[in-house]
Amino acid sequence: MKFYRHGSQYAEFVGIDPFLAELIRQIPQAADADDNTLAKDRLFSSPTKDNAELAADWQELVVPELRTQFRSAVSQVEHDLAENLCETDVDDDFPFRLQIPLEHADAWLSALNQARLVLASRYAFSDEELGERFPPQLKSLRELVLYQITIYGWMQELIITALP
Amino acid sequence: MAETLTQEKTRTEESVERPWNVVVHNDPVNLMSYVTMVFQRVLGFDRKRAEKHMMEVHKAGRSVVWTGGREKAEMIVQQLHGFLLLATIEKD
Repeated sequence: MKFYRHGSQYAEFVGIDPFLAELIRQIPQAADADDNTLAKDRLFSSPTKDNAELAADWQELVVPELRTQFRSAVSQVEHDLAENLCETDVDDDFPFRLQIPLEHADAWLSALNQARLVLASRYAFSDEELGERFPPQLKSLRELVLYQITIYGWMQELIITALP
Repeated sequence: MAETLTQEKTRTEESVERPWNVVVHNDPVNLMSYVTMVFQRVLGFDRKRAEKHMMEVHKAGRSVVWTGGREKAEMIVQQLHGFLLLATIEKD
Protein backbone atom coordinates (compact mmCIF):
# COMPACT_ATOMS: atom_id res chain seq x y z
CA MET A 1 0.00 0.00 0.00
CA LYS A 2 1.31 3.44 -0.94
CA PHE A 3 0.17 6.88 0.08
CA TYR A 4 0.10 10.09 -1.94
CA ARG A 5 -1.06 13.61 -1.34
CA HIS A 6 -2.55 15.37 -4.35
CA GLY A 7 -2.12 19.09 -3.72
CA SER A 8 -4.59 20.47 -1.21
CA GLN A 9 -7.48 18.43 -2.59
CA TYR A 10 -7.14 14.85 -1.44
CA ALA A 11 -4.88 12.13 -0.14
CA GLU A 12 -4.83 8.69 -1.66
CA PHE A 13 -3.97 5.17 -0.57
CA VAL A 14 -3.23 2.96 -3.57
CA GLY A 15 -2.23 -0.67 -4.04
CA ILE A 16 -4.50 -1.95 -1.28
CA ASP A 17 -4.95 -5.72 -1.13
CA PRO A 18 -8.45 -7.17 -0.52
CA PHE A 19 -7.66 -8.06 3.10
CA LEU A 20 -6.57 -4.51 3.95
CA ALA A 21 -9.54 -3.12 2.02
CA GLU A 22 -11.83 -5.17 4.25
CA LEU A 23 -10.11 -3.87 7.41
CA ILE A 24 -10.53 -0.32 6.11
CA ARG A 25 -14.23 -0.97 5.38
CA GLN A 26 -14.64 -2.02 9.00
CA ILE A 27 -13.58 1.36 10.47
CA PRO A 28 -17.18 2.53 11.20
CA GLN A 29 -18.12 -0.80 12.75
CA ALA A 30 -14.90 -0.87 14.81
CA ALA A 31 -15.62 2.64 16.12
CA ASP A 32 -19.01 1.62 17.50
CA ALA A 33 -18.76 1.55 21.30
CA ASP A 34 -22.46 1.23 22.06
CA ASP A 35 -22.41 -2.33 23.38
CA ASN A 36 -19.25 -2.00 25.49
CA THR A 37 -19.07 -0.08 28.75
CA LEU A 38 -15.27 0.09 28.88
CA ALA A 39 -15.12 1.51 25.36
CA LYS A 40 -17.85 4.04 26.11
CA ASP A 41 -16.02 5.07 29.28
CA ARG A 42 -12.88 5.65 27.25
CA LEU A 43 -14.56 7.68 24.51
CA PHE A 44 -16.43 9.78 27.08
CA SER A 45 -13.89 10.04 29.88
CA SER A 46 -14.46 12.12 33.00
CA PRO A 47 -13.00 15.64 33.13
CA THR A 48 -12.24 15.29 36.83
CA LYS A 49 -10.93 12.79 39.32
CA ASP A 50 -12.63 14.19 42.41
CA ASN A 51 -15.43 16.62 41.56
CA ALA A 52 -18.71 14.69 41.42
CA GLU A 53 -20.77 17.77 40.56
CA LEU A 54 -18.60 18.61 37.56
CA ALA A 55 -18.63 14.98 36.42
CA ALA A 56 -22.44 14.90 36.57
CA ASP A 57 -22.79 18.20 34.68
CA TRP A 58 -20.34 16.90 32.09
CA GLN A 59 -22.38 13.75 31.51
CA GLU A 60 -25.52 15.80 31.06
CA LEU A 61 -24.23 18.69 28.97
CA VAL A 62 -20.96 17.80 27.23
CA VAL A 63 -21.17 14.08 26.51
CA PRO A 64 -24.21 14.41 24.19
CA GLU A 65 -22.30 17.02 22.16
CA LEU A 66 -19.24 14.78 21.96
CA ARG A 67 -21.41 11.81 20.95
CA THR A 68 -22.89 13.84 18.09
CA GLN A 69 -19.43 15.03 17.05
CA PHE A 70 -18.00 11.49 17.04
CA ARG A 71 -20.97 10.04 15.13
CA SER A 72 -20.76 12.80 12.55
CA ALA A 73 -17.10 11.94 11.90
CA VAL A 74 -17.91 8.24 11.50
CA SER A 75 -20.79 9.06 9.13
CA GLN A 76 -18.44 11.12 6.97
CA VAL A 77 -16.00 8.22 6.82
CA GLU A 78 -18.82 5.80 5.94
CA HIS A 79 -19.79 8.08 3.08
CA ASP A 80 -16.19 8.39 1.84
CA LEU A 81 -15.75 4.62 2.00
CA ALA A 82 -18.88 4.06 -0.06
CA GLU A 83 -17.84 6.65 -2.62
CA ASN A 84 -14.06 6.46 -2.71
CA LEU A 85 -12.86 2.95 -1.84
CA CYS A 86 -12.71 1.50 -5.32
CA GLU A 87 -11.44 -1.64 -6.99
CA THR A 88 -9.41 -0.45 -9.95
CA ASP A 89 -8.13 -3.67 -11.52
CA VAL A 90 -9.61 -7.05 -10.62
CA ASP A 91 -6.57 -8.89 -12.01
CA ASP A 92 -4.21 -7.04 -9.70
CA ASP A 93 -3.29 -8.55 -6.30
CA PHE A 94 -3.53 -5.04 -4.85
CA PRO A 95 -6.56 -3.73 -6.67
CA PHE A 96 -8.10 -1.19 -4.29
CA ARG A 97 -7.52 2.49 -3.84
CA LEU A 98 -8.99 4.97 -1.38
CA GLN A 99 -9.24 8.71 -1.90
CA ILE A 100 -9.74 10.94 1.13
CA PRO A 101 -10.72 14.57 0.48
CA LEU A 102 -8.43 16.62 2.74
CA GLU A 103 -11.40 18.63 3.95
CA HIS A 104 -12.56 15.35 5.53
CA ALA A 105 -9.17 14.64 7.14
CA ASP A 106 -10.35 15.58 10.64
CA ALA A 107 -13.30 13.21 10.36
CA TRP A 108 -10.94 10.42 9.30
CA LEU A 109 -8.51 11.13 12.15
CA SER A 110 -11.40 11.07 14.62
CA ALA A 111 -13.01 7.90 13.25
CA LEU A 112 -9.67 6.08 13.12
CA ASN A 113 -8.90 7.16 16.68
CA GLN A 114 -12.36 6.13 17.88
CA ALA A 115 -11.89 2.73 16.24
CA ARG A 116 -8.45 2.21 17.79
CA LEU A 117 -9.62 3.24 21.27
CA VAL A 118 -12.77 1.11 21.11
CA LEU A 119 -10.87 -1.96 19.90
CA ALA A 120 -8.14 -1.48 22.52
CA SER A 121 -10.78 -1.19 25.27
CA ARG A 122 -12.94 -4.03 23.96
CA TYR A 123 -10.00 -6.46 23.87
CA ALA A 124 -8.25 -5.00 26.95
CA PHE A 125 -4.82 -4.88 25.33
CA SER A 126 -1.94 -4.14 27.68
CA ASP A 127 0.45 -1.23 27.14
CA GLU A 128 3.11 -3.76 26.16
CA GLU A 129 0.89 -5.37 23.52
CA LEU A 130 -0.03 -1.98 22.08
CA GLY A 131 3.66 -1.06 21.94
CA GLU A 132 4.58 -4.17 19.94
CA ARG A 133 4.99 -4.14 16.23
CA PHE A 134 2.19 -6.04 14.60
CA PRO A 135 2.61 -9.80 14.70
CA PRO A 136 4.03 -11.42 11.57
CA GLN A 137 1.45 -14.20 11.68
CA LEU A 138 -2.18 -13.64 12.48
CA LYS A 139 -3.06 -16.82 14.33
CA SER A 140 -5.83 -15.54 16.56
CA LEU A 141 -8.62 -12.98 16.59
CA ARG A 142 -6.67 -11.05 19.21
CA GLU A 143 -3.62 -10.77 16.93
CA LEU A 144 -5.87 -9.73 14.06
CA VAL A 145 -7.40 -6.95 16.13
CA LEU A 146 -3.95 -5.78 17.22
CA TYR A 147 -2.97 -5.68 13.56
CA GLN A 148 -6.17 -3.74 12.80
CA ILE A 149 -5.25 -1.15 15.48
CA THR A 150 -1.75 -0.87 14.00
CA ILE A 151 -3.04 -0.40 10.45
CA TYR A 152 -5.48 2.30 11.57
CA GLY A 153 -2.63 4.02 13.44
CA TRP A 154 -0.48 3.88 10.36
CA MET A 155 -3.28 5.48 8.32
CA GLN A 156 -3.62 8.20 10.97
CA GLU A 157 0.11 8.95 10.80
CA LEU A 158 -0.02 9.30 7.02
CA ILE A 159 -3.13 11.49 7.05
CA ILE A 160 -1.43 13.79 9.60
CA THR A 161 1.54 14.17 7.23
CA ALA A 162 -0.88 15.20 4.47
CA LEU A 163 -2.46 18.02 6.48
CA PRO A 164 -1.60 21.52 5.26
CA MET B 1 -3.84 38.11 68.92
CA ALA B 2 -2.39 35.06 67.25
CA GLU B 3 -5.89 33.66 66.73
CA THR B 4 -7.05 36.87 65.02
CA LEU B 5 -4.11 36.84 62.65
CA THR B 6 -4.76 33.21 61.73
CA GLN B 7 -8.43 33.91 61.01
CA GLU B 8 -7.56 36.90 58.79
CA LYS B 9 -4.96 34.89 56.91
CA THR B 10 -7.45 32.07 56.30
CA ARG B 11 -10.08 34.50 55.03
CA THR B 12 -7.55 36.11 52.64
CA GLU B 13 -6.48 32.74 51.26
CA GLU B 14 -10.07 31.70 50.68
CA SER B 15 -10.94 34.94 48.91
CA VAL B 16 -8.21 34.40 46.27
CA GLU B 17 -9.39 31.74 43.81
CA ARG B 18 -6.66 29.27 43.04
CA PRO B 19 -6.24 28.73 39.30
CA TRP B 20 -7.19 25.52 37.54
CA ASN B 21 -4.82 23.30 35.63
CA VAL B 22 -5.67 21.40 32.47
CA VAL B 23 -3.85 18.08 32.72
CA VAL B 24 -3.36 15.65 29.84
CA HIS B 25 -2.79 12.03 30.85
CA ASN B 26 -0.88 9.30 29.05
CA ASP B 27 -2.78 6.91 26.83
CA PRO B 28 -0.96 4.08 25.05
CA VAL B 29 -3.33 4.21 22.07
CA ASN B 30 -3.05 7.83 21.01
CA LEU B 31 -0.13 8.37 18.65
CA MET B 32 2.66 10.81 19.51
CA SER B 33 2.22 12.68 16.23
CA TYR B 34 -1.54 12.91 16.84
CA VAL B 35 -1.12 14.29 20.38
CA THR B 36 1.41 16.84 19.10
CA MET B 37 -1.03 17.92 16.38
CA VAL B 38 -3.86 18.29 18.91
CA PHE B 39 -1.73 20.45 21.23
CA GLN B 40 -0.87 22.72 18.32
CA ARG B 41 -4.52 23.04 17.29
CA VAL B 42 -6.27 23.34 20.64
CA LEU B 43 -3.65 25.18 22.67
CA GLY B 44 -1.93 27.11 19.89
CA PHE B 45 1.48 25.68 20.81
CA ASP B 46 4.28 25.84 18.27
CA ARG B 47 5.63 22.45 17.25
CA LYS B 48 8.56 22.50 19.67
CA ARG B 49 6.37 23.30 22.69
CA ALA B 50 3.74 20.80 21.60
CA GLU B 51 6.37 18.05 21.33
CA LYS B 52 7.80 18.97 24.76
CA HIS B 53 4.40 18.51 26.41
CA MET B 54 3.69 15.38 24.38
CA MET B 55 6.97 13.85 25.60
CA GLU B 56 6.15 14.85 29.17
CA VAL B 57 2.81 13.04 28.87
CA HIS B 58 4.56 10.03 27.37
CA LYS B 59 7.36 9.81 29.94
CA ALA B 60 5.87 11.25 33.14
CA GLY B 61 2.31 10.10 32.49
CA ARG B 62 0.84 13.60 32.62
CA SER B 63 1.50 17.19 31.66
CA VAL B 64 -0.09 20.46 32.75
CA VAL B 65 -0.80 22.15 29.43
CA TRP B 66 -2.77 25.19 30.57
CA THR B 67 -3.48 27.11 33.79
CA GLY B 68 -6.14 29.74 34.41
CA GLY B 69 -9.83 30.28 35.10
CA ARG B 70 -12.23 27.38 35.51
CA GLU B 71 -14.57 28.22 32.64
CA LYS B 72 -11.82 28.33 30.03
CA ALA B 73 -10.18 25.25 31.55
CA GLU B 74 -13.43 23.31 31.07
CA MET B 75 -13.69 24.57 27.50
CA ILE B 76 -10.15 23.38 26.73
CA VAL B 77 -10.82 19.97 28.27
CA GLN B 78 -13.96 19.64 26.14
CA GLN B 79 -11.92 20.40 23.02
CA LEU B 80 -9.24 17.88 24.05
CA HIS B 81 -11.93 15.25 24.67
CA GLY B 82 -13.28 16.07 21.22
CA PHE B 83 -9.92 14.85 19.94
CA LEU B 84 -10.17 11.83 22.30
CA LEU B 85 -7.29 12.79 24.55
CA LEU B 86 -7.49 11.92 28.26
CA ALA B 87 -7.68 15.32 29.94
CA THR B 88 -8.86 16.56 33.32
CA ILE B 89 -9.06 19.82 35.22
CA GLU B 90 -7.72 20.15 38.73
CA LYS B 91 -6.98 22.95 41.19
CA ASP B 92 -3.44 24.27 41.02
